Amino acid sequence: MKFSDVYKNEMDNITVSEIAVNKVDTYSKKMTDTKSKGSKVKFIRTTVAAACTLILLTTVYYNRDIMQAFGQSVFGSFIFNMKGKQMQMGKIEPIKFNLDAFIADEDVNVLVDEENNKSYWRDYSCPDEMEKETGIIMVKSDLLEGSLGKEGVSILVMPNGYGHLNGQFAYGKYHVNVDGMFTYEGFKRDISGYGYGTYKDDKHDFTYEASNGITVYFLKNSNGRKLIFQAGNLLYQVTSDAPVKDLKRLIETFEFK
Amino acid sequence: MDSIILEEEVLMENQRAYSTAEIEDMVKQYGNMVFRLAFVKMKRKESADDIFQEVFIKLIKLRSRLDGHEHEKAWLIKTTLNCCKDIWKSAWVRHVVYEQLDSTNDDSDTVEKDNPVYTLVLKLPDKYRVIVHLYYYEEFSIKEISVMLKMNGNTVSTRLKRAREILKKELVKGGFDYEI
Repeated sequence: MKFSDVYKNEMDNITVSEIAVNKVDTYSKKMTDTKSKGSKVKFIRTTVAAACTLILLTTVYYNRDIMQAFGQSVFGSFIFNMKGKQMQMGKIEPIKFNLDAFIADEDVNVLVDEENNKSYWRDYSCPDEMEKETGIIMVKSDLLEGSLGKEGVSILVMPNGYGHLNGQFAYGKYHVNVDGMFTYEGFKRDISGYGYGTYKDDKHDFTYEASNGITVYFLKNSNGRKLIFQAGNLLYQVTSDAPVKDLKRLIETFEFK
Repeated sequence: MDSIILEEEVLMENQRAYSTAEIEDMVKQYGNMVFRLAFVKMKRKESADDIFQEVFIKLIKLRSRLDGHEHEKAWLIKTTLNCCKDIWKSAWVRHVVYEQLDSTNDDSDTVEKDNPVYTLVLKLPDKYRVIVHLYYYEEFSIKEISVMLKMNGNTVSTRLKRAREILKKELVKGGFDYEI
């Protein structure tokens, strides 16, 4: 007789107790119930999440114009805030333009070169010629585009979702940098007739003090809205018919160093 | 069977866990196998009962199912042996239970008379018992046993040989003439 057969026969008599088997069965059934409850909770969670997503998407869809404007504003600001690309601006002199007097409607919205009695402006055929005569340097960058027209030199700034902000570019030794700001220095000529500074029909609308230290004078004239940015000794002038609230939001994103 | 058991990854991902009915079937099919192996290892029915429950609770808790019957069987054997090891490791067992093991059964004489062979197997040293059981009762090959026990094949072979020698000696002593 084989050992293995005898061993198997004897071992076959050894069986697990019913109590142990019943305990396993009970545990198995209990676990199934728990899993079933867990599935229900999971289903409810998924349904609620799907409903919330649907509501969110619907809200976004029906407010898409606002969302688009907001996105463009953020996107525009992002581009506008290019850091580390400012040009060396050199010594900056105080601005001669008397904004306070202008705001007080004292009809002094002119800049005059009293010392030299000389106009720095004429219809220059190209930016280089302008630079030679006036010391104005045209700055080229992806954000700024200078052009010469009947209205004088203008600079097109930043894709912010409202087409171009038509920034009017001025005179002196120190100029527009890639952040869209520029410097006046020592210019004292009446420029009102050339599209710079302010026109006589420019009316002060209100002043906005931005949290970044930039003061913005909102003007109105027959052609639309004009903004003069004052940041320390820097002045920058643009025209834009973008909504005031969006302009304010944009101004808050500017950096003033 | 070798190739199936030797594979490391036996869990089938993306497959649902076992249902109550399937667990019930597996208890019927493999319950005694688990219990007997635990009994051979622990030499105590109470401990074997506990291990049986522990192993099947682990099976119930599995999130995926095992790939086929052979893998199920291999998994159950490995898990049983691991559970036995865990119990061996516990301080309570080391210091209390196994000192009393040989005197636990009041009817030990009757058991020995009715089941002389398995009594002899239980008397083998621990390192031989499981190998003998897996080889003679579950009919696994030496290679399969070496994989399950994570031992060298030669070691398994040597231990089996020594266990046979002991068993032969004891069988002769007991007056049995079984071919081993």
